[in-house]
Amino acid sequence: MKLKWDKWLYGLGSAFIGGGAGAVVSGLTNMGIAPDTFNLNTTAGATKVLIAVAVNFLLVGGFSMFFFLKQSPLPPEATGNTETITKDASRLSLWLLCGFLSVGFIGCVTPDRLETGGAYAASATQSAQPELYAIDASFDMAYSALDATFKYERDNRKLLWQLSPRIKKGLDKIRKEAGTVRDDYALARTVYLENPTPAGLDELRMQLGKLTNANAAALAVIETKGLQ
Amino acid sequence: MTAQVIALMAAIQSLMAVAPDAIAFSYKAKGWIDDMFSLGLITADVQNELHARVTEICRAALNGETPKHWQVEPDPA
Repeated sequence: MKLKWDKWLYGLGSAFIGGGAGAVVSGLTNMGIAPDTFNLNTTAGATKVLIAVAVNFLLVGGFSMFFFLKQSPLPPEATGNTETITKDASRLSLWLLCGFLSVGFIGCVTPDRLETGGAYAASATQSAQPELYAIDASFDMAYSALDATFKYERDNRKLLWQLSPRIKKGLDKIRKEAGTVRDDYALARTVYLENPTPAGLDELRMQLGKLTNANAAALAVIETKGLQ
Repeated sequence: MTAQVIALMAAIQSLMAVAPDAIAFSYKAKGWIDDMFSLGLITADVQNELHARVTEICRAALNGETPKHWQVEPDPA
């Protein structure tokens, strides 16, 4: 069996570099968030900026690369459709966000990280809710991304319609689904806040997963002009 | 050729228009990554802001309020 190693390696490299390059912007935003620590005025500050950029590059590039490997574990056979691999590589950035948001399922937030006085911290009336914090934060991210995509399409509808009517049609399908997921999440959260149970958290995670998928699908519609 | 230039300018204009949203989103993404991947304290302010945002989204959802850009509208003529 003859395999297309060149295309596969190209896709793998593209995934790493493309994913990492996107993360560089994130590293640079540190200067706006913590200018005392991250700046270009002092050697120490500039070093920290470069380290943040490099770490972001490696982290996001690595994630992107592993998502590529998940989608294309081995090179395809030399015969067949040659577009598959390049499409996979270019679509990785979309699934990257999806992968990051799934961290909410794992829950990297521990009770001791929640400062007293916060809505999710332990108090006289409730125990700490680190899982809910992680899920809410991921929901907020996925919702914001989806909201921005819908808004972008609506604000530029005329132009995008001329580009491809499939963009609006594709997003309209997701709009219906995402609206239902949002409503279900709201209901599940209300139930959980009244009666916090592990089953309630599972329901929230399930709705978060659906919203994350909707977000990835919406980005794919924009990227492929509705062809997928 | 002229039509292509106009289309390109329109595309650039639309990207410029969306830039503030994109910048705001990138800040939110950075904050989210910090929360999830660092070991630092998540301040009460950050917790309360997130709680208020998500609660507001849920309140709107339960009251049947849907933003216009989330609604399916007729196709352009």
